[in-house]
Amino acid sequence: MWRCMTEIFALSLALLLTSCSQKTEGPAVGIMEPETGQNSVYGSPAANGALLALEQAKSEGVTFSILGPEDIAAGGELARQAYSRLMRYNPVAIVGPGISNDMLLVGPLAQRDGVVMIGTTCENVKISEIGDYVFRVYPSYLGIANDLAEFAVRDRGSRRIAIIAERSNFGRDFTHIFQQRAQAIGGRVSKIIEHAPEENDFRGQIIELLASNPDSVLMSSQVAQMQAILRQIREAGYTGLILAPSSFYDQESVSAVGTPALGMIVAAYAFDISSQDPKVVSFRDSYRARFGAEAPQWAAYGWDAALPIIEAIRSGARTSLEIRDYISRKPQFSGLTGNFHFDQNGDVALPGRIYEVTANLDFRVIR
Amino acid sequence: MNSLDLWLARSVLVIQYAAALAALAIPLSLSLRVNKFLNFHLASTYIAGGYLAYVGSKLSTDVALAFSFSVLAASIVGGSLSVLLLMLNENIGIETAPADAHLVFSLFLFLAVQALAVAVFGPRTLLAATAEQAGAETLGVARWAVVSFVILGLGCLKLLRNTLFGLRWVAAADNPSLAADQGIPVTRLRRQTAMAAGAATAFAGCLQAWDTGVQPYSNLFLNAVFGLLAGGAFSPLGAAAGCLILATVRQTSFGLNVYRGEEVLIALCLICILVVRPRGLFPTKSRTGDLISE
Repeated sequence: MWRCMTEIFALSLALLLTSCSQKTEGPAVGIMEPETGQNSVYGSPAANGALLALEQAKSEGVTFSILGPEDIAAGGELARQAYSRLMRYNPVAIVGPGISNDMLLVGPLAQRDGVVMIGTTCENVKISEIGDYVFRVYPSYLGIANDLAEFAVRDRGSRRIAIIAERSNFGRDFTHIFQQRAQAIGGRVSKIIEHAPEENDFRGQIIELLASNPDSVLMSSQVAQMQAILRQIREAGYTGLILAPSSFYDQESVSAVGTPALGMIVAAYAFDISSQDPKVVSFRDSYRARFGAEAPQWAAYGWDAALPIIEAIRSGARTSLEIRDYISRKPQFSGLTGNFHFDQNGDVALPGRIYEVTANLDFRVIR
Repeated sequence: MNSLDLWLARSVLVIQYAAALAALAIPLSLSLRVNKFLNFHLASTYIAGGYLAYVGSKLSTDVALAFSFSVLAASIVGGSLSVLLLMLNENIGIETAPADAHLVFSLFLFLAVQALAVAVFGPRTLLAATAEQAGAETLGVARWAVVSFVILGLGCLKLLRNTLFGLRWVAAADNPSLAADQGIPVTRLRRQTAMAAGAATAFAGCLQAWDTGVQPYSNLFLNAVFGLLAGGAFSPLGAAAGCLILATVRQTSFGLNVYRGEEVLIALCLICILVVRPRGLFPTKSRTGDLISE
């Protein structure tokens, strides 16, 4: 009898200690981003930016707990697992993920569980349809694809456009939107070639692409693939216009490619991480001090994704429902990327710009 | 591009891709001929060669030095690894349970190579980008080195047929017990073949990494096996021819842009070839007579 009671007592004590170790202070806010793998180029800075915002808010006396950042690496099932790990601590809100496919996977789970989720750099148009608990601070690629098509056809007079696209939701959707817009204003897509997401040798596809004599080539793939395509297409002798989506609007990515990137056109939203805006300067300094590296532009989207959650908690919101209502109703947030608010689909609207890569391998606004 | 330029560019790409496939298919064919099993270890030595290229690119900024170091290291490591695994297989009775033992070892080796690479370089290097690290424009020579390497290998194989070593190798491959009765060291010949095959695939992996980077999960190894089957599994020359055919089909598939056209067209081509010629397009001649007199 005594032995049985001792065992029950020991078990209860163990459970109590376990639950104590998982206890969080105030509402919990999680972060999930790909910090390793090929998407870490966006995920790691976005997670750092969000972490910086949350840590600063805590140091200013806002009471909440930070969970993570959870690394979702290559995404897919790993994203689902990262979400489950965060959910053990009942977070009221989650910052991230920044990759569209991962958001399309875990966003519906957050919607089902009633947890506010704010995507950092995800741009798939279908994210708008997930539900009222899911937001994002990066606009969908609808505007970017239209801007690129208009620039190529109207400003540069392209009439034969070839497209090399990743065989994925992003590659297909971006290509489709671009093609529709280009054809509507008098352009013609002369060839579309898809490649497998894991590919790194595109020479075969490039020759077939160039066989259609294009005057512009659009790439709609991940950054690592676009870097390889850019090198290999220049190596094949193509000297015409090359167009890329906003994921290539990154100094580090362009510098890694070098001279083949000269003259490339990138459509992106009008945020400049090297801006002299005091808020951005202060962010860059804090980021450098905290992480020992210069802040890439994706870090600012991490910061902006954490901002609405912090403001909601600061105003007294304690549950997911209260945070969601606060975020949906607030007319304007003053973020690093500009003043923004969320529409009824949880999306933001930022003005788009067209950039050209100059001889110094930096970006110059041309439209 | 005019049509002549286009035709030339396509031909060059087909030859280069066929050579990359053949660099895997020929060692596979050699191994299959002598050891009587399809040596999947070679996929791991190929990847190991890729990672050694990456190590080389990190060790020195001098491209020539780094390149020389990595191809040498890849050949030595690949050859040694292949012999070591063959000996392990022999010790656990590969003759009686070839498929199971071999597959377990192959899987183990593949995972070990990946785990080692992740431990040493971190997960970001799974897509080894050696050419990008060193500056792609300096390394256009690497893809031509693959082509030269394959042509040289095929020439050596042809020459071997007329030497004593070559005749002993053929004898050991075709009828090991009869060859052993005649004093031919069959086990040693098997290990020599494993060493040559391992060294060749690691060397090829290294060259490929210096060219475009090695992608562990690409279709290259699968296409090499398809090329081997299409050409004639026991014949290195046939395997090379099979790879050339599949490389041509692959290039054609890009122009069509059908969904997963590359995989579908290559698989259809292989099925058609095997229906018409079940032993491949260029099978070895059957050897029933006196091996030495041949």
